[in-house]
Amino acid sequence: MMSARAVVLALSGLVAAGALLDLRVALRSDLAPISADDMAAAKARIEAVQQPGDVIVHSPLFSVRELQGLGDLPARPDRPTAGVMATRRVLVLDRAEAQMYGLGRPESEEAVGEHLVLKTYAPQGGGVLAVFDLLTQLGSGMMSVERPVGHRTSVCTQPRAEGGWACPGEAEWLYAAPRSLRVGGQDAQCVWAHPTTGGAVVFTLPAPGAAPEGRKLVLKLQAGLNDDAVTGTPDGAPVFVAVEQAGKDLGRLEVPNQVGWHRLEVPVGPEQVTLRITTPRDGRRHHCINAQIVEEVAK
Amino acid sequence: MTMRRAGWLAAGLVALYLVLQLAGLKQVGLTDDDDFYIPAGIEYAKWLGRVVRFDRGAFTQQAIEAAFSPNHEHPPLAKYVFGVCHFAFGAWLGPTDSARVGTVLFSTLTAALLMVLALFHLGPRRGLFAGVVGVLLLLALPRFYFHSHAATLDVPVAAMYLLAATCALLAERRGWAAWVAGVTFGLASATKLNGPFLIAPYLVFALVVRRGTGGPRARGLVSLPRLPFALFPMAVVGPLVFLALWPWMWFDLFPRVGQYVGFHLHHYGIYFLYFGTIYDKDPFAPWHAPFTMAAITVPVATSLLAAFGLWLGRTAIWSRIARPTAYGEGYRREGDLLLYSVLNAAVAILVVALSGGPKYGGAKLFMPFFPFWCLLAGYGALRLYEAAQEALPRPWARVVPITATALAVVASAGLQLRFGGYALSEYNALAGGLRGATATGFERQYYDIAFRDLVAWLNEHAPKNARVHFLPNNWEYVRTYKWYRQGGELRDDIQVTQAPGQAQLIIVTHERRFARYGNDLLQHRKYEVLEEKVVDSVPIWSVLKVR
Repeated sequence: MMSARAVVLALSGLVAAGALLDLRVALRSDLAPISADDMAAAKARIEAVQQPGDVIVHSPLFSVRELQGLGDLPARPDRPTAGVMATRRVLVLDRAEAQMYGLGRPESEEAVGEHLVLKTYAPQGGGVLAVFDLLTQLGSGMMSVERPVGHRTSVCTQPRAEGGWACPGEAEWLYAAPRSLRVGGQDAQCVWAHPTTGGAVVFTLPAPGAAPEGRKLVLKLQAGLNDDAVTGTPDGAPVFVAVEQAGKDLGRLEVPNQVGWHRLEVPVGPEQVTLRITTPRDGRRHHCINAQIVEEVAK
Repeated sequence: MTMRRAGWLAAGLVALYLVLQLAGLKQVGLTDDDDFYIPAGIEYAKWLGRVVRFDRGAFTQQAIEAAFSPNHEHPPLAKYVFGVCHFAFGAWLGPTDSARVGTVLFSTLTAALLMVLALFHLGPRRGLFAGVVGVLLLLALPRFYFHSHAATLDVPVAAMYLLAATCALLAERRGWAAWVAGVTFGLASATKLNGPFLIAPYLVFALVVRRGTGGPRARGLVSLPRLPFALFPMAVVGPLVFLALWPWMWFDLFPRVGQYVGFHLHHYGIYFLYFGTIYDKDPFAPWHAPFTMAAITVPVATSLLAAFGLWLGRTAIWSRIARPTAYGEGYRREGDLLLYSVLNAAVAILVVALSGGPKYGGAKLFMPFFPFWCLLAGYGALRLYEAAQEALPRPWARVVPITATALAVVASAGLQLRFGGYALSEYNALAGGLRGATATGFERQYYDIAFRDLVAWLNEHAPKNARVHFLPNNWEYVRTYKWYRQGGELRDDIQVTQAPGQAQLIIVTHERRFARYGNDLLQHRKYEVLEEKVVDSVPIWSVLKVR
């Protein structure tokens, strides 16, 4: 049993300690800014270890000035979801003094300069490795427009102010860019893939290369229409996504005028994969896709 | 110390509170809610003007619908005050800060009520000590201070809830207060939806402290305690006051009451970032989110004092639960204050935790919690001081507890001064400050605040006829910046444009709860940074020159 004196001293001490902790927050100075050299070194290091399908995350504490040192590296401050952590290798560029929480134990960790740390998280989901992800690796010229189908008339290489690439000679709503759409009642990130009447929007995914022995490549495709586009257009036409590789049809995903995602998984080979998107009527077909090529254990 | 002298000292402190709150008016930026409530308040006040001029036309359905249609999803009391203040102080303070004087007045009422509660229940000397500490801690509470300057309903309902709660508690010992409780309960209900929830902690309190006082008709196995008389005016006068104050309800009562309740039962989703996950729909966020937010935003020493107050006052609380008719009147009053405060604090936060509604900003929706919590902290400081008098030799008996309490006030004020107009970015040491909280996955700001230092920067540096676009949530700034232009605080030639393609300046506000933020940042970080506001090593806004 503590004496009354000890109780008073303990409680007063706790209050004072709590106050001093807050005072420290109130009076401390800002962290030293990350130098351009350190950011450039971090970028070089990430590019050296980066593999196809890696997700790159940076600390939400970086200012825009600091982030400019990362150049065009496709890094974002969004914390990866559990699903991404399970299936993708994640590279995290963090501030050494205030590190991100909740990502678990990294596979490896290395200091970059004085104030940065690069952490690598291995996928935890049983050997599935994403080798290509359209959302994060979408690039100039990856999308084109055929009009009519089979006759390429425009390659989407013109940078847009809002991000992504416009398709010269085509309507401004035909472009390649990541977007946030509400699909199935949830905000989701996906690649804008608005089809066009009398033509096709085509995504050409780079050749993934051959899978090592005992493993196989699978294309995981999901496609959906913005919820408002579905509910506001009762007679909206379906959208079709045809999967082709080396001149062969591998499968076709039909996206009816319904709320929610539609999915297709097909084994693919090492060559380029083509996604050809068509519709009979393009009115309010606010359509987007996610496409991943993953490598997994062959059964 | 006489009660009269204590009362004057308390009045002086409340006056100081008012002055310091008014001093912050020009520091706190407009929020997205200001543009809802100020225009509504102006319309309501215009209608009030017709009423006081005895204009019969004011009472026609057409006039009422026209006046009360704006923001009819929330009750009107605070908006009347905003509107009246807008017209009273507009010439000196401009169109928005004048209306916000109304919120400052509500906040000041809260401080006054804390003093009333403390003095009445603890006596002049002890009540003054606990009340002064409680009011100082409330004054220095960063997020409450911010909300005390926004023309929104959260601090007003905290004040009116506390007013009704105070009257109901006073009614335990003063008969007249029961009728006032009925009226003020109606006023609280006419302020925001939090108001009616007072009935729950009051009923629990009233039943607990009346246990064993079986009413005259109590018969049989169960002896029901006598119900407090104040319940009657609260149940009858309260709804009448509520309806009398809200003409929107007069002509279409039941459907509109249904709409009012339905709006809150099915509230649209509001993004909330919690431990790195974005919650935007039912159930919006885990039940523990409000508790966590309170724990990491209320200064640590304030919460410790409140917790110690509960612990050191546990005997007084338990005496009211276990033996409600025993002990002297002074001890019963003390127990009543503590039991009542903890019940109200708990319900104020539990309502948000368990309601299944949005947890917008984490702390905004349970403002009624904070005055009770600060009162408990003031009581904790008092009991610590009293315990030291018995346990420590002089001069330590005074030095130790007063130093600890003074440090608590100074630390809280320190956080407030550090974050200033960025008080919604304030996190305490448990979260590692703002930088720790951001790294942990909490939002660095909310409410789409149109920061005043950004407005000043634009006035000084933006090119002529500048078009500005905010990312990721531009629309709210279209609404708030028009007020700055109207009030002469923003250059006439600067416009917030909805078309990012037309903007010369893009301002990124770094709010991660918007799913598009990551892409926005990725796409725009290549542009020249003209200015960047960093608070506690966390970027809050960045001005980018895009053309």
